[in-house]
Amino acid sequence: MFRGVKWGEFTRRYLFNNIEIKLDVCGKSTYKESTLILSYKKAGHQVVCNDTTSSAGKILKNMKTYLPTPAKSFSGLLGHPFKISTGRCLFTLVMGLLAAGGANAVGASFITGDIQFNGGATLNTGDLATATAFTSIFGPGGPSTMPQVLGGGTQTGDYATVPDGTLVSFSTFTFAVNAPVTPLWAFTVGATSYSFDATSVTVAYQSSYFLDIVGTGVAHITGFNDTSGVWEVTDTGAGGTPVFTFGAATDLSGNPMPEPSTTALLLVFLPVAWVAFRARRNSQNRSHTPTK
Amino acid sequence: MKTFASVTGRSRLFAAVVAGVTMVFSSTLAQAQPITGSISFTGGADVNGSLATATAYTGFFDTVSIPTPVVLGGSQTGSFASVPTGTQVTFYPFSFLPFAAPQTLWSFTAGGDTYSFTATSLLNVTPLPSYLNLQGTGVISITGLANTTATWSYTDTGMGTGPGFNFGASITATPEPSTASLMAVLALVGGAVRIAAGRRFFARAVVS
Repeated sequence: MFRGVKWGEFTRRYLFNNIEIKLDVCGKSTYKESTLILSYKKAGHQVVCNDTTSSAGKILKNMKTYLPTPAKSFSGLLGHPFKISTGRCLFTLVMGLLAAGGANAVGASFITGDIQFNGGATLNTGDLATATAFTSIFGPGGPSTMPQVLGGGTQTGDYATVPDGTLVSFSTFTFAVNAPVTPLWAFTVGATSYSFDATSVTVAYQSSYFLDIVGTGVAHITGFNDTSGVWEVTDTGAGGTPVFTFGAATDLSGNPMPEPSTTALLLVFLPVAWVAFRARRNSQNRSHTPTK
Repeated sequence: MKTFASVTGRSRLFAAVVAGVTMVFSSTLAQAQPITGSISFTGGADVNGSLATATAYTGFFDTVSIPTPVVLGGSQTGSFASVPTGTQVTFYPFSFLPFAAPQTLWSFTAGGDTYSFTATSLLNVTPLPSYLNLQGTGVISITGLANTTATWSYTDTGMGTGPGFNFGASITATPEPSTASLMAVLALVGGAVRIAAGRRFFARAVVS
């Protein structure tokens, strides 16, 4: 029962099969005839189901029935059963898009391109098949040197101007656990700093001869927006070799997966929030109308 | 009672065995020794497509100033220990799908000696979306040393369209039990037999 709950008051938030579910209650005319607003969000979609019952347990029990229900109108966008005009919806949408576009135009570009590195590495067990962490990552010249940017025109996009053989600082890390590595690598060319933070670490292949690691992360270049990308590391060697070859690549081409800036998100959200606020206030005003 | 002739005959037989062993052992020592140890290389490689679709290496490189892959520092052991870090290595393009053996993979010269490797098998090709791993066996050759069996591996990584990817290679010599080792074991056995025979001879001489 929802006695004592004020109209429009947010009541609870649930996590159901990794789907965020917000259970809200809005009033109609009396306390006994409440409208439970069930909204859920998954993969960027937000869907609202309405039901007129006084039993919250019944709503929760029937969640599986409600979840697949597709959105029917903009009225449920924010989880409240109000109606807004199509014109206002379009206006809000256009404003949001303009705001997002403006933010992107004003801000820096996203990073594109590939860059690769080569060198050597040592591992904590000395065996590719059983290793769980890098103990050192160095350059072609041996353990006392730094990894280098690979030449041969492998630098593309926003990395194209990085000179061949640029020295790179690599962080040693544990790949047995999926934990961020910040930074995975970093180097500087003149006044421009380049770096990459690994946000995930996954072993793709591991044997006596090979160790292949892959992950996602965020690339940084001075003057550019932070951009999501993928990274890979590979090593080879066998038979008790003291060190292993080390090759690494960072790819931001094709699918740069730019992360929207906070400014852009705010500019998109504000017009929508404003319309929602107006509609919610109107809805509350209607719900307080006495029943005859 | 042992006669002088029988004792002399046994001694001659033993002397013949020792002489034979010595001859074989000496000839073995005169032969080239097998190769031991491992070495790795780092650089870049061109393939005919992305790593997931490539079927052949079409070229190798490192940087503009160093046009070929180089010997990785810290990787040289055994017979390769004296190879200077950064030695330029000539890698030869080849097809791995299909693979035709024998295939000379690389060669270089250091200290007046020529080092080369010929692959005789390709046992494993693992073309993952962002990796290319090759592994097999072959024969390593170094001037003045006996050709020796070895295992080899190549690896590349990257998700771009290519053709250039970073490249790592490694070989490890896996010498088979040599004739020298066998002869050494045989000599030990021969020595044991000689000692035992000598003890029996002197024991019987005292008794007689």
